[in-house]
Amino acid sequence: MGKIGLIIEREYLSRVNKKSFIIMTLVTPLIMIAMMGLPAILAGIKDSEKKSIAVVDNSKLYDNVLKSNNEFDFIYAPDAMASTVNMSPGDGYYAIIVIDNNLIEKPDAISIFSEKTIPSSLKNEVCIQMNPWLSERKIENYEIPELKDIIKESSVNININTIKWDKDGSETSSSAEAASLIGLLSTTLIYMFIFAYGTMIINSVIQEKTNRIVEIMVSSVKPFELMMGKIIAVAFVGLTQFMIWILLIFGAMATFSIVSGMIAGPKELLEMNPMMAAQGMETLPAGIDDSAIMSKVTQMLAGINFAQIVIMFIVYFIGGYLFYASIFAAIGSLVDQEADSQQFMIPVMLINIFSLYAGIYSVSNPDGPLAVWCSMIPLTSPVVMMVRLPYDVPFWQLATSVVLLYATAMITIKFAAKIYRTGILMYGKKITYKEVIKWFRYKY
Amino acid sequence: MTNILEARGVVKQYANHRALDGVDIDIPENCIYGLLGPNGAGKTTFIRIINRITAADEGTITLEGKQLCDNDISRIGYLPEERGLYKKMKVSEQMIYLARLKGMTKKDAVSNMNMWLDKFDIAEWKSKKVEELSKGMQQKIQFISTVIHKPKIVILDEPFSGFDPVNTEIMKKEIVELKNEGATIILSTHNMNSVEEMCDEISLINHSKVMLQGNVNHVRQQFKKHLYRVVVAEDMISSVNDIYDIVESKPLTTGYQSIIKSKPGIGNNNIIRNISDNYTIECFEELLPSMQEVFIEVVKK
Repeated sequence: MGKIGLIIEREYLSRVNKKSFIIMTLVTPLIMIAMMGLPAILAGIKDSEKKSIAVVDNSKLYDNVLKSNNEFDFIYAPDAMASTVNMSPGDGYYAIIVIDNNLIEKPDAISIFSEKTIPSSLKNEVCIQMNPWLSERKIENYEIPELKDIIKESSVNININTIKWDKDGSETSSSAEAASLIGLLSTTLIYMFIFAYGTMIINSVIQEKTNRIVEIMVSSVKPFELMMGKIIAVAFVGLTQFMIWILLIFGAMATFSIVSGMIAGPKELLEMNPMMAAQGMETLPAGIDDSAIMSKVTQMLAGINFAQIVIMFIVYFIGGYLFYASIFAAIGSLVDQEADSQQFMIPVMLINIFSLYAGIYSVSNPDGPLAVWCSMIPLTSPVVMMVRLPYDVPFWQLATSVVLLYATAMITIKFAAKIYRTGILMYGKKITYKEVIKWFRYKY
Repeated sequence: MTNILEARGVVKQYANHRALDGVDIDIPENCIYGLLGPNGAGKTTFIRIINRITAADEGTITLEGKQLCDNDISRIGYLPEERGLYKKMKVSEQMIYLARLKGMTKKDAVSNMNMWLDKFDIAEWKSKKVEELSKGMQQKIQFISTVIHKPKIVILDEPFSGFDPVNTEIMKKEIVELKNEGATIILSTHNMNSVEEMCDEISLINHSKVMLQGNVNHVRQQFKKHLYRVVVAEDMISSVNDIYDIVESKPLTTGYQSIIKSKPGIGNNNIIRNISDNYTIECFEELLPSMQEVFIEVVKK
């Protein structure tokens, strides 16, 4: 094994054997799942205590329209009271609903009083119960026979199938929603990966420098070998983590669908997931049974080439990571402590954040000029291309983008190595951009 | 004595200053060679060039007559002045890693490590992490890491800093032993006492140039001020104008001591004869300048 192999081995094992790596690798997917599922779960948790709500119906038109449920106990005041004054707060009622007039004629004649801020759930509950009841009364008021049935029948809910033509003319059902969701996920993931592992490089270089081990190291190996060994090892760490996550996600998905298939139905499953809801995936027509939904999900995902996405994710991760990691290695070599790295980090961070925004923006227009250009330029291409991938990028664009990215990464590595080998042996001096440029001419 | 390492006309130019300016240094085989000079003189740059950490702009360096190349670094052990170890690594892992980077097999690295750890009687540190060790302990680990691969040339930059007097003596003994086993040691230090005590040859670098080079005793001879210390029994000696001047005199508990400076062209016998005519000489010695004095004189020039 060559020296660079030894360095990779040490750098890799020292990271993978760390407790924090193992914990982070296992905990992060849980956190991600929790972040997606938690709002739904929290929203589902109702107050254990039933709240008593007094209803004062001065109009005497809505006796017993509001029905008590798990959350609220609607108690009609026995006698219509002239005013609310008699029923002052503190009688044990959480809130008082006062209806003063005919709500069909005067929709704002209803008010809720409470000492506390009135929760939207109460307001919603009243609306949900009152509105349909009032609508029905209104329809009845028209006195047209069977109007109710006519209206019900006239309601339309269209369901658009998106079908993609393959080159050979065969049809694949594809889903714009699924494509954009997957694009968004992979873009965020690649951005996080490039950034998280790039930062790992900076810290590691600074640590070796402040440790002063670096001079011993470069007396045994070339600075380039040390830098590349570190970069490659961290890339392997990243890929290891990625692979573990892929396995965990597929494992979790399989278990989850089996378990939830038993207790709930796939429909509830879809509705529970706010991430999917945000993407409009649950715009499923009402009344479709569970098996139809299941086949629809399968259908939506069938149009997406997962193998291509995973492979390209790895290709772009390596390319983008090599590019940014070498820059980060150079930055790390320039400073004595992490705090000083800011001045060099800011431009890199700006580009990175720009690429994430360009990526997110491209979700809605994956073939627009911003998306196409940003997926070609090596600074942004790894992040932006991930968004476009589910939408079938022309091969020449993909090839150009990958070649450009790797070519740029190689050039960057070359220049970063020049900075690195000088920088790591410089101590106690604030280094300026101007000086760095001079280092390119040093002989080694 | 053949030279193991020869530097010829070595120039290293940095952006704003010239770190080495036409440096010629010959390092004889199997000696302890002192590399002296004030801070910033260019010693570290020269050492880094030997280690192939950086390259000379001009000039050549040969190792055993052949142009120094990248493979030669496995034959060099380097203890930098600014030293450190991977704090989270275990002592044994650290040593084996550094040894293997110098081209040793794992098996050889392990057996050499055990040999050294036993020698220093610190085998129980093996599975400790470096950060758990005291500074002096870390220095020992560092020293072992420097020589674990049996290098032909050992470069030690301020090897005694951070050691207590007891450990300093142990280190000195080990360095001499390395020499006896055939290694050539390049010692860069500001501690002139250890130079006098240990070094066979020296080079003094100042302002990027070699100011002085050669055998330690010859160098001291070269800088001698023709001063003698004389102790006589009877009384303070008086000056004899055409032979010597008295620099200082003082009575001792027994006898009287004077430092005298001889006139140009006057030999030792002449002085002794002159003094012994009038006094009983109890002690007579020529005062050679210490390396400290030589150093200061050269650097201040």
